[in-house]
Amino acid sequence: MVDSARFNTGRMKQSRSDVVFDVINLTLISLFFAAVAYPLLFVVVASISDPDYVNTGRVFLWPRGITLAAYRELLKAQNIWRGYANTIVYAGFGSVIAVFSTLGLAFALSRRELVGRKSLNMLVVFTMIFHGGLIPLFLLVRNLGLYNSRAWMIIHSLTAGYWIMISRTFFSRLSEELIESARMDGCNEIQYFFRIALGVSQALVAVLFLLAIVQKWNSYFIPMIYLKDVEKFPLQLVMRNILRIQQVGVEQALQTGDAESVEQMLKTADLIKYAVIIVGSIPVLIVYPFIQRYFVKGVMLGSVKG
Amino acid sequence: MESVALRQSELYPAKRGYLGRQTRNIRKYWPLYVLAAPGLAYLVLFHIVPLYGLQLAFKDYSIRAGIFGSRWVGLDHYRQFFSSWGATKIIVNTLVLSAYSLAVGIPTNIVFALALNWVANVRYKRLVQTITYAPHFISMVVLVGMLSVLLNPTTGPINRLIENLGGEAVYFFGRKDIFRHLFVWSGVWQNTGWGAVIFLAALSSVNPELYESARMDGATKLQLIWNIDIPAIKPTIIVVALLALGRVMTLNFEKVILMQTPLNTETSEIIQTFVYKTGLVNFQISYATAIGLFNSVINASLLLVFNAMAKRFSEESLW
Repeated sequence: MVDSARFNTGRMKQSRSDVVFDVINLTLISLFFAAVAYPLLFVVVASISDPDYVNTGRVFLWPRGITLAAYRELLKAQNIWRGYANTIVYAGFGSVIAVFSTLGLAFALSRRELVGRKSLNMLVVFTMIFHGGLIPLFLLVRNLGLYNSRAWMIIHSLTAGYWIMISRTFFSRLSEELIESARMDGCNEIQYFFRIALGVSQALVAVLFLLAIVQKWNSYFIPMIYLKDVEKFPLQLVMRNILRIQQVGVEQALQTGDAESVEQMLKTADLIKYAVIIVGSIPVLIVYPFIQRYFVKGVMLGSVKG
Repeated sequence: MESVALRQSELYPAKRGYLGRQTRNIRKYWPLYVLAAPGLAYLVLFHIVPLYGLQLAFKDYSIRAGIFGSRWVGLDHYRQFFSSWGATKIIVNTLVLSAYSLAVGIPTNIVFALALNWVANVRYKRLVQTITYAPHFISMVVLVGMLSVLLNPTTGPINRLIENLGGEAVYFFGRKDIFRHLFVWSGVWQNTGWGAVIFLAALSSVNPELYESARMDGATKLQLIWNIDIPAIKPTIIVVALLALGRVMTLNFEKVILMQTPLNTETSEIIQTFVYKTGLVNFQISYATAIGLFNSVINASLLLVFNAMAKRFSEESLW
């Protein structure tokens, strides 16, 4: 990879316009960087600050009146922990099944010996172009008895034509000698797939895995329309409900007739919202820096064809 | 080796002709079908089979009669939809939101990629990349949650800032005139970093000698960008733009649903949210199916058109 910016150093002398360019460029980049980073920082800071300071706009870069009340409240909340557990189950199993299904299909489609290959490819492409929409799928899922089922939460969005095609292209570039020598050793295609093809395509497997986990982790709408039992709600759904609660605490406090506790509840409600955002995103944001470079590789995998 | 050859001919008796070869291959390569089975089963079951339910678009669905037994009503649903005053608004909203997102999103991604490409300090560059990629992985719930807390009229910091500067607090989510901007620019916040990756990748494959020779001729950096970088990513731009145009009707409606309030529906109601509400909230099943079908057909057409164009301009396309 070429770092074009390296032409700043080296033998070329910096002209005045170059310096101007660098300054402006750096400024703009830094402004954007700050604009992206600041809301993230603010949410973290606000989640541990006294609501009075936050609500009157006196919190900017660091917390004031540090309080962990929101996190304490959240730790007690059963539905958050249940949501976490559910999401881990759905994302964990779901991503494993999804990746193996996608790669298995892609591998099969990449082999010329597959009978009906052309038709199957057309089928995959067709599913990419046209779909029946929300309602027919909903009716089908319901008729299959998968409504309100964890099974559906695990297998929904199992595979997508886009990734099937990219993986297929990837597999088709594996050298033919690999599979020939494996066949001579008595391997059949399944063994070859698991032992060799996957090992060689580690980058692809990693990317698919990570994208599948992230997608399942963040999914909110499908659980919302297909789940009825609160115990099955994934984290995002629980968070959404918490983030929408504006009035609940107020009504409760009104019943006790205590104006002060109403105010207190309103304040904590907002504080909790900040904390919920952090709690719900922690896993992703912690794991993210380590896996970030794999994503970049994956996008480049997808963009380089032929 | 000989024993292997013998075994093979026993297992796969020589049948002649194309069909013979095909059946032989099915038997010989059966593991491939095993590998393909889960993915294929899912696609067929959940992408092909539901198409059967599309006929409801032309029927009047009754739960008792089921899909098969409901009576035909032809184009009634479409007559009803297109004559309702809401239809135009919904379609316009969908298109405007998409077009706005594209018109803002793609250029910002490009500009950001070009600018980041020329940042000298590699460590700062990587830091910026890491931070700007991060919002892409935040869930929609979190993103909209952040927006709603930050923009809260009574407790949000943005409104506090506005008030401190002498203005009046704004209920951002209730303003139908602000919705589109909120939607698009929060998308910029979330996706610019990630969206620039593909352009950065293209930029990294530029031949350094091009820069050197241009520098010898006294080119400024801006000229380098204009004359070398931009042409280098032109194919990528075209493909990205065409593919995005092809998906213009499949707006991120999770985000829209989350950002919708009763006060801003005039600009926030898009086709997909309307289908969802009509079908799954109000249970007008067949009506919603009809509109969903309309959406899918337009979507498919756009995809076909723009993908064909993408194919003509480069080797890259969706298929």
